[in-house]
Amino acid sequence: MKTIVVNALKCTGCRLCQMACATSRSHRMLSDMAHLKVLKEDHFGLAVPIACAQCKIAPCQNVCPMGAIRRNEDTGALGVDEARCIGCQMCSMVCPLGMISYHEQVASKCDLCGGEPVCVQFCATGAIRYEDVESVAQFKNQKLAEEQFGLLKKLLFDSI
Amino acid sequence: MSKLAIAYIDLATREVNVVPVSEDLRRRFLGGRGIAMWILYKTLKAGIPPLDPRNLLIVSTGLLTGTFAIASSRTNISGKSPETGYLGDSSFGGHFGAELRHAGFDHLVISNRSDKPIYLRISDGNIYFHDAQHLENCDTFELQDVIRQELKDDLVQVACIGPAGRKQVRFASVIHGYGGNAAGRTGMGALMGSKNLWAIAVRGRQPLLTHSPEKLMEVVKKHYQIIKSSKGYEATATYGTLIRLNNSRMVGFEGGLNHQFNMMEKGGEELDADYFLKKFEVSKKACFNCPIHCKHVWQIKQRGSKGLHGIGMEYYGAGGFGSQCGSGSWETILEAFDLCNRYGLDASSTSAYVAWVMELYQRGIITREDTGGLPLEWGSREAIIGLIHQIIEGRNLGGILAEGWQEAARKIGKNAGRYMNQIKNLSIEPDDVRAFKAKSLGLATSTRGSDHLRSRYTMEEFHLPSEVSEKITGRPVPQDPGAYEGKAWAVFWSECLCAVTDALGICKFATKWLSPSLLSFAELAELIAVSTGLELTEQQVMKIGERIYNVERLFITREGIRRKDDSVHWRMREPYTHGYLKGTCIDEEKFQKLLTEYYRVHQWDEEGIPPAKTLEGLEIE
Repeated sequence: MKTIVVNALKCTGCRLCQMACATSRSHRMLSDMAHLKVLKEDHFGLAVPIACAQCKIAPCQNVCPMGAIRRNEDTGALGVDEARCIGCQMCSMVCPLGMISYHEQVASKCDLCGGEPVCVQFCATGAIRYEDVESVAQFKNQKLAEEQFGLLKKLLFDSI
Repeated sequence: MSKLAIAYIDLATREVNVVPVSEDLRRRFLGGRGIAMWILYKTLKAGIPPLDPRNLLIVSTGLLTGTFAIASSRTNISGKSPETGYLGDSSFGGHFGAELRHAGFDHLVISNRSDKPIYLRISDGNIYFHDAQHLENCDTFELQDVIRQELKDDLVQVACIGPAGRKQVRFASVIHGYGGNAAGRTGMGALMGSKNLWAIAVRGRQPLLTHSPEKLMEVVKKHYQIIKSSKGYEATATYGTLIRLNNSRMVGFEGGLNHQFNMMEKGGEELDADYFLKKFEVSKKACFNCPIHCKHVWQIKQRGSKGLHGIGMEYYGAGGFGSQCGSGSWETILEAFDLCNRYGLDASSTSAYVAWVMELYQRGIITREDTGGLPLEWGSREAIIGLIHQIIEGRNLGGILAEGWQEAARKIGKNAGRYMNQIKNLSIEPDDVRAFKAKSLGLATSTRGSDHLRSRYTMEEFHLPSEVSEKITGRPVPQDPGAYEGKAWAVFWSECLCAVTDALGICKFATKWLSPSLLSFAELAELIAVSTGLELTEQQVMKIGERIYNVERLFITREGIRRKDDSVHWRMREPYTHGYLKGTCIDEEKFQKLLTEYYRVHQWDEEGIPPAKTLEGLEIE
């Protein structure tokens, strides 16, 4: 299952992802209104994007007294059914990442734009990507292994 | 489209008068630099001394600043220039402009002088006056820290002056952020200092609305792809403005030792963008809504200590403190650049002033007696850093320089002013463009004094075939950078593009100002239409640029600028000393013919004054 994969080392802090999120979803241009958050430390030019992890065991979904948070089986994203939401904010209280906000008295959170997250489409550096976490893990395994292969070759086969 | 406002702020009475931007003003000038120039021209009377309380300080965001439009980050600071005595205008990117618009304001028109130091806090439609006396020992970085702590909000964006602005050093800048963003040129920091206004802190939580959100998404997606797939993107995203170090060295237009040469005689091998990236760059940083991320986060790595670190480092500072001051050391350049940012000095002018007095020292016009014992040898770190401290401390030679080069030249005497490379009193950039005739004409005629951001026809460097330039600009421009013919149009076209992008609040790095495959009038017209509902043709958008430029021309001709002032510096009429373009110079006779042609394209009279008929056609009353 794909999800939003974050690499803060590559984030330039431009907020284009947030503007894309807010504009496409609510037609309101304000980075504060984005589901994705980008926190910054200006002295060192640092920026950290934080995206909803679409938790497999999701506290927001479990705590909701109205059953208003439901998972889309195709994308794995947890979306808010606004008609059911009563704005009790309990989901926001239990979310470990602080990724649930409130607009017009109902909960609002990232639903991966139905499988084509617009924020990712506007990230110029690859700081946020939409990928299968398992394949990211495999990629990392492979990279680590390749370094080891190099060392092993040197140790075992002098001439190569 | 959100309805935003102009706030007229009287610092003497602390009265604030908020008025909406009229439809007519929008249609004719869009916003940003456009509306700022119109207010300045209509409000300011000729002959007012720049540091007089009657001068205005105008802070402007563009029509699209803070919206989803790509690279919509810019803020202009304008007024009558304390550095040149003519038009003052300078802009920065960063995140201040977006925040100001989200706080509900397009323009702040600040008049008079506060009786004691203050800073303005602007928050969601409200403007508050805060005492600033406790900030008197802060540099620009410390000052921003204190304000953020005071307001308990790290998202507050601050534009401020430092010690240079407070002391009204004529080339003081307005700084936003921690090294990456400055409204440097034309001494807007001194103007802010003269008003006893030390900072403006903004925080906005109001979303901007757009005329047609779905269409805006489509248009921005298209522009994003145009920019990302352009040839220039990779270079700019990697090197930022420092790419110019490599260009200028390769082709041979690197100004050396205060423009005595077009190449540094010895040393300078390190003055290379790749070298900088390898040795000093840590990461990249971007302004609001911009995929280009041209800014460097850098550090001077030293064993056993943290070393100096910062953000920014632009070509102007690198070439200015580098080849122009004879230094090949990045450590010196970065230290000088960092000091300029912290003190709130324009790195461009500061480096030009240092290079100037180094030449005066070389010629024996000034000696150690004038410099307080400081030997001004070319490339000397002690000289460069020492002079910057002197300027801020107001002592010895630096104390004289702080009053501006004109006053300094008068005090030094011995024809010292002759060696200051300037046009309309503003120092010339570190690269030496006398081989490029459109660029030279652009420097000579720029409305804020010698400047590449008012008109530079960058494409002149790309040797584009005439049929390609015709497709881009509407008229064929000769492939040969050394040709004079057809260059008046190239400058005119670029002036219009620069004025429109500044009025929209879009960075020029996203436009054909930088590279032929980027955005131009057609794409900007599209953006205006989906954002505001204002349907304009390409030609109409270009006309707005022409209108803005004419208003600026009216402003400076009212202050006495005439044809004689639209001149290159005498050094540009001397031949290049090095490289394969050796011998190239500006031919005065041909240049005058070109200038006449330029006036004709603009429909100005023989002195460069826009006549009533031209103004009528441009709807300027």
